[in-house]
Amino acid sequence: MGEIDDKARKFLPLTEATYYILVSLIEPRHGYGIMQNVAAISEKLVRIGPGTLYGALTNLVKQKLIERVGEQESEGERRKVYGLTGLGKSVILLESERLVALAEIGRLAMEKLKTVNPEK
Amino acid sequence: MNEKSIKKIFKIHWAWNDDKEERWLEKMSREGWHLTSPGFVYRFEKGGPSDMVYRMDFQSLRKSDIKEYLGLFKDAGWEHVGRFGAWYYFRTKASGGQVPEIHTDYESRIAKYQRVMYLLVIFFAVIWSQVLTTLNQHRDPHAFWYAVKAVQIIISILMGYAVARLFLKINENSPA
Repeated sequence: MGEIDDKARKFLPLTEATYYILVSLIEPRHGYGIMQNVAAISEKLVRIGPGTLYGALTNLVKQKLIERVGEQESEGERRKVYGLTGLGKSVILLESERLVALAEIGRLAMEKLKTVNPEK
Repeated sequence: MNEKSIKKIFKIHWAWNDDKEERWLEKMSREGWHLTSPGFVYRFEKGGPSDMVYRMDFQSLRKSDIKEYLGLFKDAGWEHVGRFGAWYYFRTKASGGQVPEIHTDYESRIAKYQRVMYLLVIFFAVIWSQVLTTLNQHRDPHAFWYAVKAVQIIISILMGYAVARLFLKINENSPA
């Protein structure tokens, strides 16, 4: 476990888009499915354009965080389906731990700011 | 049905000014001229004036990857208008509120200009290695070789300039 974590740590921190894409791939999805899922889980606050998505998918495959797991055909369109690799899963876990710790610090920072400057 | 009118415009656009080119294509669409194929000569077809958003991407793709690439754009609501070299032209209807984008973060915007820049740097290196070898091989003052060298030097200066402009473009798109 230690070795794969060392490898995974090199990818941190992830860009926001990469994090959303990886989290979307906890269940295998095609590109279109990723775009829809990101819009859904972020309540439409985050959108990933096709140019950004294509670049990210190519990089993530190269870095072996994701892999092609098959193809899906619907309405005459064939789409490649991607899923996480073991390394990809470790990267999400480590990055999520980092983000949760950061969010905790953020929560404390907000409280502190409110007591120092109560009007705001 | 009326014969469709077609307009051809010769225009050179530079890689570091792709946003200017996009604005120009959008202006043409508002005037009813819709791009049918890009190139040194742009072809337009007359239609109703409409508010379109044009975006360009730069990708050197393997043939087997083109389908997936264009499929993602189609799924996201972008029409692929044409290709000029490694530049892919897309458009979609402007829908009032948020302007749709093909690159939604600065990292991928920068990556696009980096891809253009790397390709230029490779060409630049190839041309310069030729300049240097011909310089060594042909010491006799022959007009033809002077001409060849002059062309190579002009091209490489232009490329150096392009690389510098792209470098500035990357800086411009990076967070402060």
